[in-house]
Amino acid sequence: MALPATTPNVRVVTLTIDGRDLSAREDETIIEVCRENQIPIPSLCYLDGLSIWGGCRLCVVELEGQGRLFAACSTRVAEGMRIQTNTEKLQRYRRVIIELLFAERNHVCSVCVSNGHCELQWHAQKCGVDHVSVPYRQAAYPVDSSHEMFRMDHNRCILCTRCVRVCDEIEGAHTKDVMGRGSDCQIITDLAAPWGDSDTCTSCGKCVQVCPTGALVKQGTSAGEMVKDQHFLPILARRRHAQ
Amino acid sequence: MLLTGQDNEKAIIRELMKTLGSERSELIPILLAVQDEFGYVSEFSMQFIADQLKMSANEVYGVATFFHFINKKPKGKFIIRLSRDMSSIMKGAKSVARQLRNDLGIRMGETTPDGMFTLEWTSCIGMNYQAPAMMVNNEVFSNLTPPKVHRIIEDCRQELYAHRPTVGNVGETHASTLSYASHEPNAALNRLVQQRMSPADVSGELTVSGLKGRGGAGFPTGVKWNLASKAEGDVKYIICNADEGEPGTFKDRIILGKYADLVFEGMTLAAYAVGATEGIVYLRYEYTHLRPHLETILAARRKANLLGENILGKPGFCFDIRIHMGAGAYVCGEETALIESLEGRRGEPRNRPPYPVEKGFLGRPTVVNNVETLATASCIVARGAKWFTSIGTERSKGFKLFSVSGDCARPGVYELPWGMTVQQLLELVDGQGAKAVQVGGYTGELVPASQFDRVMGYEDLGIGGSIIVYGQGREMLEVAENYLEFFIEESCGQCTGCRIGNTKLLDGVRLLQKGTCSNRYLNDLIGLSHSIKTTSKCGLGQASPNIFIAINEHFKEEIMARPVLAA
Repeated sequence: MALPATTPNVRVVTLTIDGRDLSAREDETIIEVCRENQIPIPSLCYLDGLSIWGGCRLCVVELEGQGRLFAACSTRVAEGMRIQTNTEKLQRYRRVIIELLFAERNHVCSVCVSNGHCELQWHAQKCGVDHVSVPYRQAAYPVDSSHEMFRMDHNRCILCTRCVRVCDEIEGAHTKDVMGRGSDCQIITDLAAPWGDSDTCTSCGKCVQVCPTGALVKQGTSAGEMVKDQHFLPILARRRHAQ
Repeated sequence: MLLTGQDNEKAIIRELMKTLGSERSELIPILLAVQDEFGYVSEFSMQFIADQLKMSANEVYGVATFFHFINKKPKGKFIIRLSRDMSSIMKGAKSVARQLRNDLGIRMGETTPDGMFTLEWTSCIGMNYQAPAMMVNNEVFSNLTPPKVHRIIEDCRQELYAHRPTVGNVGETHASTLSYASHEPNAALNRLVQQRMSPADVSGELTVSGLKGRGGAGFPTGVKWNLASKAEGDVKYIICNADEGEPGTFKDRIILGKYADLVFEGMTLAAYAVGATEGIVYLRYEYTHLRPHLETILAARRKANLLGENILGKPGFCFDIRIHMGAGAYVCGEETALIESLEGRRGEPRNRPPYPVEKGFLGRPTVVNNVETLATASCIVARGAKWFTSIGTERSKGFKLFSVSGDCARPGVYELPWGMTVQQLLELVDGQGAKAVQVGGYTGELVPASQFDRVMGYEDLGIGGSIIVYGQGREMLEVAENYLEFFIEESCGQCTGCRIGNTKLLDGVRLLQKGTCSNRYLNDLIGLSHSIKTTSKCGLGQASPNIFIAINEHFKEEIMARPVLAA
């Protein structure tokens, strides 16, 4: 999480990202340094202000001298690091990951409330995903419309767990969590009960705003109408941390 | 006062928590105990446990649904779990399954209407050399045949089964664990006390010996202990990873059954080297039957002052060991996932660094070692590093325990020096003329007959000790299907590639079986395999597509030459 630079005695390190010489605080992660320096790295589960999950694997980068790839969101910078963020290999891997996310559930952009404002769609365009080469799983998932203000459509969920984390870490309600294992994973409200019956939910709507896709939306929105605003998050996160 | 059912449930849970503790890290033991009491964990229980542990109820729900052996719904009185690993399938698990289905009149995953039996597949239960095998509740039955399971079912119906002796509790195999058997009891600890070895001496001895982690990752043990001893922390932990889930591996079960003293001695050595005071054995649920045996040994060690305060009269040397049961998740064999589950969370691997030696269990420095590593460490400290380095090869020192199963005449556990070729091993176990050998379990490498001259050691096939032999008649697509089903079942679901990618690979294998997978799509899938390998967070994801790549590399003709089946 990006925290205020109040910690004294934090060393500064120098590193190279895509050939650019940069300096950064030692306690920063690669993705934070990239964001500060306008170096684009696609990411879905990472969100400034929330804890790090490291599950989507979209932000993988290459470190010189290391055989494997590293997730930029969960790797701290170090002195002399040489990082590549956009090689052909990485582009290929990212396309595969996005294709898999599309194929996992029923993502049909043209009829989605988030069409045009969806992070998955946006990354797909940026990464050059023009088709999905693996067949869609075509499994039917439920839509939970029981809440009076919001709706959860599991068909559009990518399991980034942003909603789980914002509900726990910022709102403090912990209404949402993940159940199951592997491809059976699903976001749940309380004990897998309808959202509308929840007695822990405060109806704050933060989960809806941080959701990258059309999985969590406001009731009454139609195709392309759901625009999200995440600006509140870093501010709240810093205030919460300062307490 | 009239007690309702729920009041009763609450009282029982409160009682259980008095003995187990009410820390969050006790969540899984509490869930298992509640299940023993009621047969399953109801939503009401989850809510009550969450309130008591000051957690959110849905967190408890998330944990309960993560683990295979925690039931959310009532199941039968006898839960029959038939092992689905490849060795079992090869030895006729499918005909056993048919017999069970016919006898009980239910399908896999169902419960009989009278609530007597539940029938399920389960991942490997560590009985591969006596395959096929199954568990009835916590009891293991092996070398199954359709008539035999019929009798077992009849016994269960008459509830005689409780008096049946446990089959295959300890290793009646061809096990030739020479070094372990000839280890003088507690020789390492005695040497430590008599020669006044310092903690650095102990880890130094191991570093010199070149012992590497026997769980599969192969990290130098001496270095790990040294790092943990230098890490800052008021409390440090030694964890013995007995979550032996790799299909085809059963050496740890044999070691714990026969040589548990060596393992506990190794943990005590580690505690001394690192400065830890608490040890935890993370025992997989499938080995519940070993627990009483292990508890007896621990009690004896406490009595002999080999555990507890001032061990062997050495002032300040305090250490004790407790056993923590897993609840059925292969991924918890990964050390950070293991720690997560110890802390009462879903067994999902953590982002590394920080490594457990710096920040592990409860944020404290933690050493996680495999059962075999710890037992071998005892042998090394007792006999000296020189003895160990005289065995093996230049880059792979010492010996290793191999669990051999599949198409060979003498399956079992073998203690062998590093540096043997696959061919030599096959001759030893009488499995000559094999089509292929899986070295290192499902996450390891499939070695075709043309490469049987490859050497087992860190320079080449340096991976865990599971060997599965495939005879000439075995179909590689069936093998791949079985492996991928296993990985899909056991993936934690965190990383995109592992969660979804493997389902696509399995679909691909099924297309190949039907003869309708185009060359182009096959190439796409190979690309996908490489993506899963490189982008996944933990070892499970990184190794899961190995089989798909291997069958393409070595058995391309076989898998592409299938006649097209009508849809």
